[in-house]
Amino acid sequence: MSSTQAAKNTTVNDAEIIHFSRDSHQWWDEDGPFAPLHRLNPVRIGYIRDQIEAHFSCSDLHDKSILDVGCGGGLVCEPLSRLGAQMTGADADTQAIDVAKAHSQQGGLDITYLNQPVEDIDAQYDVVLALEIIEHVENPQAFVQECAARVKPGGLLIMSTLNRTVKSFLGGIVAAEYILRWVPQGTHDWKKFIKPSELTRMMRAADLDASDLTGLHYDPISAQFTLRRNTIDVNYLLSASKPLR
Amino acid sequence: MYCMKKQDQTTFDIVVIGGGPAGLAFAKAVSGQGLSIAIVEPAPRAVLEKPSYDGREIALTHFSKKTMSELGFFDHITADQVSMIKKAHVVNGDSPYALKFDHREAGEETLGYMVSNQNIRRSSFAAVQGADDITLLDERRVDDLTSDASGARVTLDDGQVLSARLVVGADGRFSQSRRKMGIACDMLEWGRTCLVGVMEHDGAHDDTAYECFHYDRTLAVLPLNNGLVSVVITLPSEEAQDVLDMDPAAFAADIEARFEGRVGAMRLTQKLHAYPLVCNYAKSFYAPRFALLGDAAVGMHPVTAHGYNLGLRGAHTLAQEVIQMARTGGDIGSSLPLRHYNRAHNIICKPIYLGTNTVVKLYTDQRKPAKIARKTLLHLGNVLKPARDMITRQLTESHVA
Repeated sequence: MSSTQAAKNTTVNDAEIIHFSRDSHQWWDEDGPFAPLHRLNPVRIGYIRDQIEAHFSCSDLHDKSILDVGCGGGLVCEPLSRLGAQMTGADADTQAIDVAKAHSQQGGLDITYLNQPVEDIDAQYDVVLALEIIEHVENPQAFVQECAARVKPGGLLIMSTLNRTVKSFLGGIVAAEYILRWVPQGTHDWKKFIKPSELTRMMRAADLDASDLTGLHYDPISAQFTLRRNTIDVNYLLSASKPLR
Repeated sequence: MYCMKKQDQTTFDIVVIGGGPAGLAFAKAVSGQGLSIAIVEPAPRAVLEKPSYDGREIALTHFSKKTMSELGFFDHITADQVSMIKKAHVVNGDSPYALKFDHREAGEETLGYMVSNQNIRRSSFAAVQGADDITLLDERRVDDLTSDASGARVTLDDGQVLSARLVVGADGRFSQSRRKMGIACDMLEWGRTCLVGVMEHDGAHDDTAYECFHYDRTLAVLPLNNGLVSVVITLPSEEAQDVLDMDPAAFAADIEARFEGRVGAMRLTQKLHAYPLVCNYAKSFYAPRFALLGDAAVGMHPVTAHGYNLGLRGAHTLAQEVIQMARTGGDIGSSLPLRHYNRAHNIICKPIYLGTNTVVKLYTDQRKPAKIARKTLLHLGNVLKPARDMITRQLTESHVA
C-alpha cells in the first residue's frame, strides 16, 4: 500500500502490514508461522457458528453475509464459506489477499476478497468478524467504530484478541514468541493488548451491546485449544449485537 | 446406499479403500454429517451382504460393544449371537497354576463379549446399507493413488478416476494403498499358523476363556453359546498341515487331552480354518490426504484379541477428527486432523503391539530362563492386584468413555 493511502486511513499500521506480509506465502502451511491459527481455527469457527446460530435463531450459516476484517490468507473465510455463508474477506496486506484468492479458487470456493482497509468498504453485513487483529491496528477505538459501521442493524460483531495480563505476557509473548517459537518474534506488542473491559467499552461507544465473552484455553499436554467461559486472562472472544434501531 | 455399476459420480469427500470391518465402521461413523463417502471393494456386493463363516470368533471389549451399538451394528445381531467372557484363565505349560481374571473384580457384568467375525462383517454392512450418503463401488480395485495439497485421486481398474478430499486405506495387512502412498511398514512373520474351529463339548465352560501356553503350541478355548467353544491353536507352520489332515475324532481327542478335559468331551463341528501369522505396524498412520485404518495400520497377533477392537477404536478416533473438522467447515483432508489421529492412535496401539509381541515371544520360548520368567510373571500377576487390575481394565477397556 502507498503511504498516501496509509495517511488517509485511521486503522492500518504500516509496520504491522510489513511484518505479516513477510510470511504471507506461508498462510496455508500448517507447520509454518501461522500454525497456532490453524490449531485455533476449529475452536473459533465453532464459537462463531454457535454465536451466529444463537443470535439469528437459525440452524446453519446459509444466506448469512459475513465480512472478515483482517482475513489474512483466508483461514476463517474458507471454513465459513464451506458452511454456507456468503463470505467477504478484507485485508490491507496485498500479498495475503493474493494468497487467499488463489487458495479459495484452488478449493472451488466462492469468496469475495478485498484489498482494502475496513474504512474503505462500502457495504453492510449480517456479521462482521475481526479476529486476532485489533491488537495490530493503529487506533483500536476507531477500528471498532469502523467495524461496527459495517454491521447491518440487528447484526453481530465478533472480535477476538489477547488480554493485557501478566499471564498473557508470559503465554502470548514470552512462551509463544521466544520459547515455543510458535509465531515470529515481534508479532505482538503486549502494550497493545486490550482488556475485555476496554473492548466492551469501545463497543458500547460504537452503540453495540456486548452479548458474550468467552475465553480460549490452551492445554499444552493435548496441544489443543478449548473454549472456557471463565478463563479470559489470555485469549478471548467477544460478541456484540447492533440494535435494530 | 447407492450401488453403482456404471460410475457417474466421481467426486467424493471421502473414499474408503476396503469394505472390511474397519472401513465399514469408519464409513458408518462419518455418515450423516453432510459428507459424501465412497467405498471401493474388490468383492461383490452379495459377498458383503452374506459373508461366509471364517472360523474366527472375535472378543469384544466394552468400548467396542458400545461403539458398535452406536453405529447400529447390534440392530443386526441377535442376543443369541453374543456370548460373554466372564472369567479368563492363563495357564503355563502343564503347571496347574493359572493367572485368573474375574468380571466381579472389574465390577462389570462381563470381561468381554464374543461375536463371530461373520456376524461383525454382516452387521457392519447391513448398517452401512441404510445410509444414503455412502456409495459402494464393489468388484473394483485401486490401480493408482496420488494426493497433493488440493486433493487426492483414486484410479480404479475400470479406468474411472475418483477425486476426494480424504482417502482412507482400510485394505488389510498387505495394504496396497499403504504401498502406493509410500508408507513404510514393519512386517513380522512368526513362521507360525493359527488354526481356528468351533467344537461341541459336554461339560460347562462357565463363561471362561482359557489361554494355555504349551511351549511350542498355544491353545485358546473361548466360550460360545449353545454348548460350543471356539478353539484357537497356534503352532509352527510346518506342523499345521499335519493337524489339518488329522481325523476329526483324533483331533478332538488330542485337544481334549491338551485341555485336560476342562469342558468335558469335545467334538469338532466343522472343518478348521488356517491363518498364517503375520503382524505389521505402519511407520506412520497418515500421508497427505490419506489415513491408514484397521489392519493396514496395525495388524495384531491374535493372542490378546486386540485386532478388531483396535481397528474399531481407530475408526472411531479418525471419524471424530473428521466430524470435528467438517462441523467447523475445515478441510477434512488437511494434515491437522490426520496428525491428531496418528498421534492418538499410536499412543493406544504401540504399547499393546509391542507388549503383545513380547508376551508371545516369552510364552513360546522353550529355553529355561523364559520358562522361569513366565512362571514368575504368572505368580506375580496373581499376587499383585494393581498389575492384574491394569490387565483387566485393558482387557475390558471399561475405563475409556
